[in-house]
Amino acid sequence: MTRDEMSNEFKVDENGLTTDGYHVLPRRSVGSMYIGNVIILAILSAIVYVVYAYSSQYYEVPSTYKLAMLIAYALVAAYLALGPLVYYARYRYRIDGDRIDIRKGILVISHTVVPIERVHQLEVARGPINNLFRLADVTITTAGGIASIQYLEIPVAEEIADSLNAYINDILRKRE
Amino acid sequence: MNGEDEAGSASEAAPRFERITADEEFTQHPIKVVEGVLQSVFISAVMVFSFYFSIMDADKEIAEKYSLYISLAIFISILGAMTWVSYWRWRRTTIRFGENELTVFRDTVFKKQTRIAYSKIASTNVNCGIINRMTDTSRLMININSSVNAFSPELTLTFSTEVSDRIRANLSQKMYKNNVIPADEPDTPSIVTITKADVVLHGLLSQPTASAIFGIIMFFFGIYQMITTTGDFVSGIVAITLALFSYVVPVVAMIFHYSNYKIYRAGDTIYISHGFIRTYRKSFKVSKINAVRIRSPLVPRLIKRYMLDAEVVGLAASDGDNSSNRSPLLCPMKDRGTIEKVMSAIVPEFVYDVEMKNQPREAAKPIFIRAAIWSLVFAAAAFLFYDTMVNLPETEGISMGYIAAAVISVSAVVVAGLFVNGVMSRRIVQYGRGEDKFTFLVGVVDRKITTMSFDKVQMAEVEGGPLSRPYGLARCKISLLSSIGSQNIRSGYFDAEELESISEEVVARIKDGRYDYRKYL
Repeated sequence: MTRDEMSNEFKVDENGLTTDGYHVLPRRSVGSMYIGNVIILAILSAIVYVVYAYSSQYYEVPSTYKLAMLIAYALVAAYLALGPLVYYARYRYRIDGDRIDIRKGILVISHTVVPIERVHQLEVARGPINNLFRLADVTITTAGGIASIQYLEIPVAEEIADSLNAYINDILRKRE
Repeated sequence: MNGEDEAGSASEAAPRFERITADEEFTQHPIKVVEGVLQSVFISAVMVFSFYFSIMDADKEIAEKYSLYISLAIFISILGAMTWVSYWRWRRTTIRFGENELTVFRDTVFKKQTRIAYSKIASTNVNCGIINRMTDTSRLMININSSVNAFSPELTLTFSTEVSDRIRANLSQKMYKNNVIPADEPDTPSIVTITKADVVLHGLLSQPTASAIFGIIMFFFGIYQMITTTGDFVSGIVAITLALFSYVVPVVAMIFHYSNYKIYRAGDTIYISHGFIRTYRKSFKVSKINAVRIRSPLVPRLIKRYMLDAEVVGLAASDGDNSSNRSPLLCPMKDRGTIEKVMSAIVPEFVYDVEMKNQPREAAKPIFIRAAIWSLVFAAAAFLFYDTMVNLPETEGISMGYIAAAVISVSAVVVAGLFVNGVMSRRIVQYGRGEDKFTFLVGVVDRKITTMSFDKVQMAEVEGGPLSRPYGLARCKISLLSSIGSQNIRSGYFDAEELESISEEVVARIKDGRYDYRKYL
């Protein structure tokens, strides 16, 4: 894949599909990601503060440590702040008759292919944050691992799970 | 190599065991009651022991008079209750072998009926511990083809050895649907001769290089601490204990585990037996193998020694099997020629002509940039460590020159190691692809050559990071069903499109019918 082809794979047409028929996530998924990241950042900040305050009681924390901690904290915070936008812009999924394709990632972009024939179990899950945004994740379990399509609108998630389930049942019926 | 012909003809031998009829009902051997009680004796003893000490602490007067009697009474009561429960469960558990499935029925307060279709059984294994050997019994372990319960067998049944062998032979007949009970003959020669020296060598050298190095360093550090520190042996003992558990114990366990190793193939079934104190007999269908792997950690490779194992789901052969022993070993440490001959005799389905490709020239860039980033991270950590040492009041009087020299030396070795690893990785890591199989060769230090069938790939993931994407490169992660539940096998950096074609091929084979699920039942 050339560099141009790699950048084209993220372009979306007026129907919300990429040139090769991939779906994008709903816009409100970004809100759900941000709330999740804010919670992570709050927990991380609390841990950093407690570690720093606790260490300061016993010895003078060297300035190099403070600087290292600050840099690490700033990098994580920047990742959490920018991550959802990049994740949203790059997240693509496609389900056709034989396979489930998921393209996603912030720094590392992954392309997962799950042959539908290998699917053992399907699950639609909604956490409290996703519930707030009327979103759900579809978890696809194969004998060798798990893949998930995240931040889908609830009816879309239900429809995907139902159609995949029907497809798998059809395969099993034919085999009997 | 010997016994190939004998092994091949073994499946044609007359049945050695009487067939089981549908109305025949089995009960386990009474030793099952003892096994059940023994499992809980240790835990009960620890609980009662801690109870004994807690009441001793609570009140001295009462403790002096009654604590021992109370504790003993509790222990005997628990033991009595456990014996009764174990006896009741044994008495009320029956096993039947129907036309298509086996049924285990337990008619106790908690009624339970377990049905396992013969077509779903991945393997039947026999495990004999000390008690079993004293009583001429064995534990028959039945595993199904599932990653959910891959760590332990679905059923563990104890019978006399004769009954156990008869059931196992009959199960093999039902599972593999041939009219002849497949051979599991003690006299069938092994495909490969494994001497005691081979087993010892395998035990010593098959440990991952990292744990071997850690164990050796800890051992010498412990000895040094005990010699140089007067009066305080704690840190030395801790270091030696770490060395024991990270290297010595696994080595000894491995030697005992693989003593008397024997492997042969009869028809489509592979039979493996080994063990010194506890003996293991495993059998599984070749079609259940998901991948075959030739492994060689650093030291064995220097003396040209390799080992062969397979990824097979549902092979738990012991309740307490440790994870490193779960993938069935098809051949302990041997030279490459023998390993390839064993592979051709035992798993010819995984032998194919393939032209292995090295990582492309462009892969050097992401590899070295990664090495540079990790070097920077390590250098920063080393600097922080040095800075801490300088500022610690306890280090007053110690020459900082030595610490600086040590930190710089270690950093230089690590950074050099990272770059040497990069150079070697470019040269060593390979990928090859055949008509229905593909192979990943990875590992600069501990080398692994994994051959997988496209039909066994459950999921494929191609990952391109910011360092590799600009060059059109990616790495691939293959998910397989394996003996440890599920396992990911990673490739090196190759052309992203080429790696994408793995999943394309998996899907294409399903679509056009080249993948036939019936072959793998």
